[in-house]
Amino acid sequence: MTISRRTFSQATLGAAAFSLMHGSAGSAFAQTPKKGGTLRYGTVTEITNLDPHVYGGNAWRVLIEALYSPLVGYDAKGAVVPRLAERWEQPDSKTILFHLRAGTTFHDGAPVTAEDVKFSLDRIIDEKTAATLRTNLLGATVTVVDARTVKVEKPQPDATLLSVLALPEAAIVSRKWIEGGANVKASANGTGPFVLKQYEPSVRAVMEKNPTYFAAEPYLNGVEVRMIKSDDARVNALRSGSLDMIDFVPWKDIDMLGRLPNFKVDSSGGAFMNIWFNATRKPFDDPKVRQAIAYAVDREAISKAAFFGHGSPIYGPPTPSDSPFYNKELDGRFKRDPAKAKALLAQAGHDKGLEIELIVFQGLGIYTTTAQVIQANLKEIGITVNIRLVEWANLMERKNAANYDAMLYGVSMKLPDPDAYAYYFGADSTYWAKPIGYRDEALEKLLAEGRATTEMEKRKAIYAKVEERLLETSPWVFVNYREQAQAYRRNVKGYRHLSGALNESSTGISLPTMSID
Amino acid sequence: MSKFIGSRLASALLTLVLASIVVFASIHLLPGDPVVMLLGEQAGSDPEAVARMTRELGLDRPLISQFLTWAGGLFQGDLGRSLRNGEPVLDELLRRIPRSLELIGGGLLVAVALGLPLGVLAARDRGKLPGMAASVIAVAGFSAPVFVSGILLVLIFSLWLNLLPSSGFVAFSEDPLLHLSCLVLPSLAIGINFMGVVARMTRASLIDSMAKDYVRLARAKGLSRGKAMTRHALPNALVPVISIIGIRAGNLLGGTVIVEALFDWPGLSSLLVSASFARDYPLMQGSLLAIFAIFILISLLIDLAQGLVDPRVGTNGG
Repeated sequence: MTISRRTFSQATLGAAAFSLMHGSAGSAFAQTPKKGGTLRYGTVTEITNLDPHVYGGNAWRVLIEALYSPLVGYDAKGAVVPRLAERWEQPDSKTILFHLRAGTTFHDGAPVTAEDVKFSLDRIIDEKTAATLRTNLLGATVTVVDARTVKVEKPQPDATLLSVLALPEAAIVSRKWIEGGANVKASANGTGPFVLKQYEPSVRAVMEKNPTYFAAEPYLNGVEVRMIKSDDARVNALRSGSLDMIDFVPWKDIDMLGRLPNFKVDSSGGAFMNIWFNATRKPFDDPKVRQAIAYAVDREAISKAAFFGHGSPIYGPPTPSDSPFYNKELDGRFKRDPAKAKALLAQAGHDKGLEIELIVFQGLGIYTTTAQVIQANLKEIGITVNIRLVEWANLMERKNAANYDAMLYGVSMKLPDPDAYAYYFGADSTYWAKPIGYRDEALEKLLAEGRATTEMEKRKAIYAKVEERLLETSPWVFVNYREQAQAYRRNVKGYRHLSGALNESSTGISLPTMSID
Repeated sequence: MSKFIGSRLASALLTLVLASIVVFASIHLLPGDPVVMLLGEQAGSDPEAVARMTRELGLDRPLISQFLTWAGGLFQGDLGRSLRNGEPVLDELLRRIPRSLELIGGGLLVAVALGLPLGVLAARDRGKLPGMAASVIAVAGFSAPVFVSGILLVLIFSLWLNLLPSSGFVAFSEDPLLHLSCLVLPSLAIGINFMGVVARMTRASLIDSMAKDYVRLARAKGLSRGKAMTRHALPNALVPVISIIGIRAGNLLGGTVIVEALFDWPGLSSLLVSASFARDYPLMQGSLLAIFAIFILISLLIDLAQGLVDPRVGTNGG
């Protein structure tokens, strides 16, 4: 993870440095990017809902980041930088004051006001919206201080507030436009670098550059996003020249495309695969059983078989080695050790073996192949795994009804902040813990402490303890990163592939400065 | 003839009504909850949020009353709104139906335009090299599954020869030429299989007709073999071919599921697939109903075509 998580003051410093760099950017580059052209982008995601507050997959983010802007955003280094707010202050660890840029307008020409900002953030908090960031902003009050100043306040200290508000899902929308009855799920009116010209759900979206964008004008004239679910069709469309760029390169094709002279493939670890346990039900209520499985799984074999070598194993907590929160001592904890796994099972009273059911999504080879390797690994330590293949809707239903023993589940980082652990394991989070009624008091205490602390060094120490606790209790077995790759023609310039939590935003962050030669 | 058309229309309508009931009931039997899919991973696992949205969308009402609302709307041409984006289902269907019809039309054209001559050739030159070659092509055509022939077509025409786009769709109004060139490969993929069937059927039927007494009589009158074939044997031989086309044309619709995905062609089948994964009930019901309607329409048209070619079909009410 290239994200260097900063405290508020550091983020502000970073922002200042960024705007300085920005001013001299013209002379810094020897070759000026060519203007014009339309980027034809093929994505696996079927975008069916354009609501900027309800996350809808990888390419949904590409669209939303191109069409809308939050108050603040991320740059390619993961630093928080100005967007609709030109600067911000943090009087205490509960409060942020945002000062809005003057003269910004929505695509329909209406000016962006402090009222719009309040309306947007309140809309995220309103449960009717079912917004992705609702839990993160729960309890926050948004006040219009004056025409260009908005105050966001949380009841408790919250070190993650600024990083949350910098996510594309915290987009600012026009109050007048939404209250006027516009269908926000099928049309768009934002402040982003591109304007939506044509849109057909799950088929295509066409955007043109926004001539009144508040920051530097994009080089591209437009972007055409085509939603192509079939992996082969997407790859073939790139190879035959009907597309300039594709996302979600199938793992089997990463090496093949990389060898072709006309294409470039950028790849890095983003999401990661896990075995989820129903940790409040026998036999998985016993941490020893869960740890036994963590020792038994052959992650190297999974990377080879399911990911064609593009899925680096996770032997410790899921924090990449380039993150400031990375702990070397914890990495390598669950190196494969079947003997130890067997011993742990025996200690838990299962020396005669076990039979479990593993719920697996049927739609992707990476899931089914991973499950088969796990099945073989666990056979070795005396656990019989019955794989049950289910469709996504069925999997979701089982997850919410806590109707599973164990489940294979891919997770993408939601936030470039280790507080993401609260989202996964926090007892109040409906994501995993709440439906099965899991609550680990020691972990709860640590997570609350981490959220209330703003100093980097102290936070590092706290999250090291969080990770230690997670390995000790192993409510999930972390298996491997699944590399996310994007492929594009060599004449596409300016794309920056980011790893970790910002991986999904790579295209969104790059688009305004991308060009076609 | 008009009585024949009338009875055909009535039975088509009845089928459609029955189909709509089956569609509605079976969709609600599927496991999985549209609200959970709609709310996503986070909110979707919050029971309160799910309950509220279920209420808002009226999905908590008894199935019978949901059905009556839906059926009532149907009679006024209102197919409801998509759950996932609130847009009218009818708009989406009207956008997609022509594209699917185009694909089926393209497939039929390929099947008939290539299949008939192949079949005639195979029958005329039976035992000779051209006839045998025609037979081999026909057998190869109907033996290859759509996903194999589709991938081969992409490989040859788009990746190697770079003649046609490998996939995609552009509206005719936007770029007519690109639209048609995008249509070629999927039409071939969907039609080649059927071409084999048409060719085999034509060959068998024609050989059979050539042995009939009336053809022998025509030959005895001094007609050449070719003339006897085109003037007397072929029209009669075509009757079973048309009925086979009618029976199997529905299969083309089934084939579109794979072809639309393979060639990224945004027709009805891909809409149905995507709506099903999201459990978007109104959209699923709408697209299934449209597919049924097309199916029934095709059989209706084939029935009528048969009536035209063979007057005997119409006179006794079919």
